[in-house]
Amino acid sequence: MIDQQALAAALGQLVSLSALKFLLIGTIIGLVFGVIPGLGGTTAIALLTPITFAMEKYDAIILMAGIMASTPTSGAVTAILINTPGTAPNAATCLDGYPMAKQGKAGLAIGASSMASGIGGLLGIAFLIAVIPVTREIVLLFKPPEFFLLAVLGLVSVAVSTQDRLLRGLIVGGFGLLVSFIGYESVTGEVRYDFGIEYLWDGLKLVPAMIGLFAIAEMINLWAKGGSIVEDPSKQRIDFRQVLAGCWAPFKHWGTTLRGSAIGTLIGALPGVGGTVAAFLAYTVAIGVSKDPQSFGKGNIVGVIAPESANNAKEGGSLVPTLAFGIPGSAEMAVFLGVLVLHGLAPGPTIVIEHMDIIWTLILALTVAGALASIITLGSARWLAKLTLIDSRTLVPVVIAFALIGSYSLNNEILDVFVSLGFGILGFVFMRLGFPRLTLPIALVLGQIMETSYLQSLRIGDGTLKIFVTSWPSRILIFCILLSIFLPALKYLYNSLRSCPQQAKG
Amino acid sequence: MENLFPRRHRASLVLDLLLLAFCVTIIALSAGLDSRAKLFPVLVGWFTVALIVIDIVAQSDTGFGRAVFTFFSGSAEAEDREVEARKEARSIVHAIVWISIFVVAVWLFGFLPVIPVYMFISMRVFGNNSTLRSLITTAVIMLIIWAFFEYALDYTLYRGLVAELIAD
Amino acid sequence: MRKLLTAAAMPLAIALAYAPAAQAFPDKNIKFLIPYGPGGGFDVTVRKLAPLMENILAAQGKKIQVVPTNMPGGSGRKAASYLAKARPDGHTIMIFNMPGHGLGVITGKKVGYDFEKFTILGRVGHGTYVVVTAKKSGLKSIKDIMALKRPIKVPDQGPGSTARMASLIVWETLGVKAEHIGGYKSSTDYATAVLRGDGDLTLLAAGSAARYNARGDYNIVAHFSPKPRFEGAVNGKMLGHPDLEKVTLDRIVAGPPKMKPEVTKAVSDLLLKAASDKSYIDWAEKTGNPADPLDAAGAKKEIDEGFKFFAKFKDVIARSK
Repeated sequence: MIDQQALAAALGQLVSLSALKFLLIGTIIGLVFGVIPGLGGTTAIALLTPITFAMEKYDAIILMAGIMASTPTSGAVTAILINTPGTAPNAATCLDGYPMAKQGKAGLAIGASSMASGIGGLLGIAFLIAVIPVTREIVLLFKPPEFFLLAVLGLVSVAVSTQDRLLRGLIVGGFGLLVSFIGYESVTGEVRYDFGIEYLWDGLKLVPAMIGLFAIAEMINLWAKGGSIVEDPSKQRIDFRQVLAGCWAPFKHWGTTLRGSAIGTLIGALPGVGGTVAAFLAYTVAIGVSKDPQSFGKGNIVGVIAPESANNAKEGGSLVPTLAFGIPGSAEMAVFLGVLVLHGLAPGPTIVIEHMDIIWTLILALTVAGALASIITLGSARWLAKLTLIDSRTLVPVVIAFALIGSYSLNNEILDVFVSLGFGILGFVFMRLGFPRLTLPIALVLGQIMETSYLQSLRIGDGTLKIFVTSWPSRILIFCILLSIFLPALKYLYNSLRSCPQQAKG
Repeated sequence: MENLFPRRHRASLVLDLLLLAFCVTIIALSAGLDSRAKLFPVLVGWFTVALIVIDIVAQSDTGFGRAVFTFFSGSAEAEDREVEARKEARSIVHAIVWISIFVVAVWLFGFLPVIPVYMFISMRVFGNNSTLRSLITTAVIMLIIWAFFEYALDYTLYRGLVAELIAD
Repeated sequence: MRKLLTAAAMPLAIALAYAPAAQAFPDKNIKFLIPYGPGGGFDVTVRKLAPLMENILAAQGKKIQVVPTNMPGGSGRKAASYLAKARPDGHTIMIFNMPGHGLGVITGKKVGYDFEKFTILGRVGHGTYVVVTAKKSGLKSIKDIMALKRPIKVPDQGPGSTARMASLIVWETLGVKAEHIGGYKSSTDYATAVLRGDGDLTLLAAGSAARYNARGDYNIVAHFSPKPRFEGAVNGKMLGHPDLEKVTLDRIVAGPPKMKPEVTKAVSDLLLKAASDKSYIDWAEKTGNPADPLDAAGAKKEIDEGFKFFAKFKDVIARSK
């Protein structure tokens, strides 16, 4: 099915000088948007749409691809430096990335995350090319029951990642799910729990909530504490050698990188749940197979590599539904398809039949831009890491300004800014009282998908629950869910069984 | 009460009760809804209520409470992070108020005028930066924000309630 | 404290500096509201129209920007309630999804705005519906569907959506018991759902049906148009229900309530001229949603007739969940 003519046409487009110019511009814009909390690929593409209007079709696509490929790379940078994921899938990177930054190892963490991102992105695209002939079959395998189970798997894997604070992780998760139920329910069309406030019809949105939970909460903490992010500035060593060591880490832990990329592409292919579940699943699996699970959450570099490789690999994966049916695999892809429509290309399944050259241009541009983004990030890592040394009295107002601009600009809604403030205070309280915050945004992402697909499944299956166990993908998912719940216990059992005879010997 | 819940757990207890109140509100509001529209919220609501009750029990200074705590956290050590000195409470309140002031000011006057004022005060009044340094940093950041959003992207940042009222 | 006060006074002075005075239309940028997020059909329609409107104004020597503004929320309700409160000076207009946005008028349900109070400005898109089944389902005609011994299952976006209303009317008229499965994100989404067997069939915009069916995955069994375009597809007349041809999907532009007649005319003329531009008509045709522009009076007439027809199905629509 690889149409060589289309591929050649795409290559021709990409090597022209103007194309490379737009690729570079797109990558840089993407990096900037990724670094600003709240602003991500979706906002960037939406804001740039009017500009692309006047551009050549291919130039516009290349510009957009640059943005899409680079935001997840730099989204990890803020997760590491200020504990604020640039996009929801970067949330898992906070778990070990931020502790590393606090220990003065920000350069190492950024090096590892950028390299893992780059490799993940490449592997994801390689996988995509490999599955092009069977994309339709893959997408058709996943019906509402499978989506429901996938959402459950995502939640479970996040809960497991909270390790010894499981109870409170679950409480925050339950709270997050309840929050996600506020507003319009799309299966029954009912508007729920709106407390008579029109703003709540659409529910509390993820991005403003995330900006609050992470950026604002962290800034409240930093302002109250004073000083800089690095706890002991004398420990901070910002040199390029550290960044290089970080670069080498994904190769040293090649198993983690490969596993993360595989999980990323597979799960990324499923619209809606994709990136976030993939990143957390990769993280949980990394803990699961680790010999030293206690070290996670305290600055283990593997905890940075796993989610970041998965997160970028999903870009390739998210093209699968687009290729097969014109269904956007991610929010970015949805806006991107809109841009294509503006350029007179009809959305929907025919895009692959009639415009394979465009798809190839996109794939190639994503590949080059992904690599470019990693290189730029690595090059500036040393400089970026200095953020952790800036005094709170300077850093806090700047971060808050950018974060709240991000919160506002997603929907041009000033009330979103207040939501960010509210969640910021809540996030700070959670942080202080030992309630893991991470389960909240994930619950917000997955709550709706879980509920909608459950209600749809019941309709499809005439109200019986049997529908959740009839297909083999759903059986595999159920197995994975059970495995993630019992994995810690199984490992504990295995370890104690193994250590018993040794003790007896000793 | 005084003896049942040790002082270091008070704050967590209050948070648990607030979350509990939220769950109960959602469950109560579900009463009038379509059976399918309330299925998940009620299910998750009760589940969360149960978890919160367990968490409350886990914090009580009773043998049972300590046992529950150990079971869920895998260690017998109590979380000590909430035992923080009272003087810290003042700096926390200060941080929350100062950030809230920013949000309200943006709501009233918009991003462009508020950001530089806020930055300057933060750096000069609350920090130990010189007037010149504060001014230059503020100006550079404002230039970046303006050039990126308003100029390059042709995007209108929120102008504030006051500007809207005047325009009317 | 004095420092703080001086600081607070500064932005006020800046704010005062931009106070404009309201004059005739158009004297400032036009906000063109889109009740959905970026990327969808309504979004791109407005983004295509906006520069054409700007060009027309520029030719009149007016340097005015038409700013497409996404205001997604409450499946289109949020933007409509915003418009209801906007100033009726022609500088805030919005694209409506009809008949979906008329749910309140049709069923008497509270939706947060009164559609009938808006000032209709024109029509910029007009589509008809087809019924599609998956080829592998074996449902080759409306007859096959009517012969099913069980209720049919129809995946769609959910209650209150334009396609749901259309589907309810079609199956009620034909006497087929239909169960709707809501919650799909877009028409692409539920078209795929039919293919993987989530349901039996669904309604799609005729303009895009040919594209969805490029691989021949679907049977197009009905096309509710006076001139059905697909081989083997019947229309309402052939089924003995010519009224079904009134089930359409329209893109209407309207302004806030109580716009002055001269402003209404100015905006309506501008809109009609832009929507009649050859580049827009061609583009609309190519992307599968014909433009078929109408002026304010023409659009108003169509809408009123539509409401009269839909009112017959008030109960069915109100009950649907």
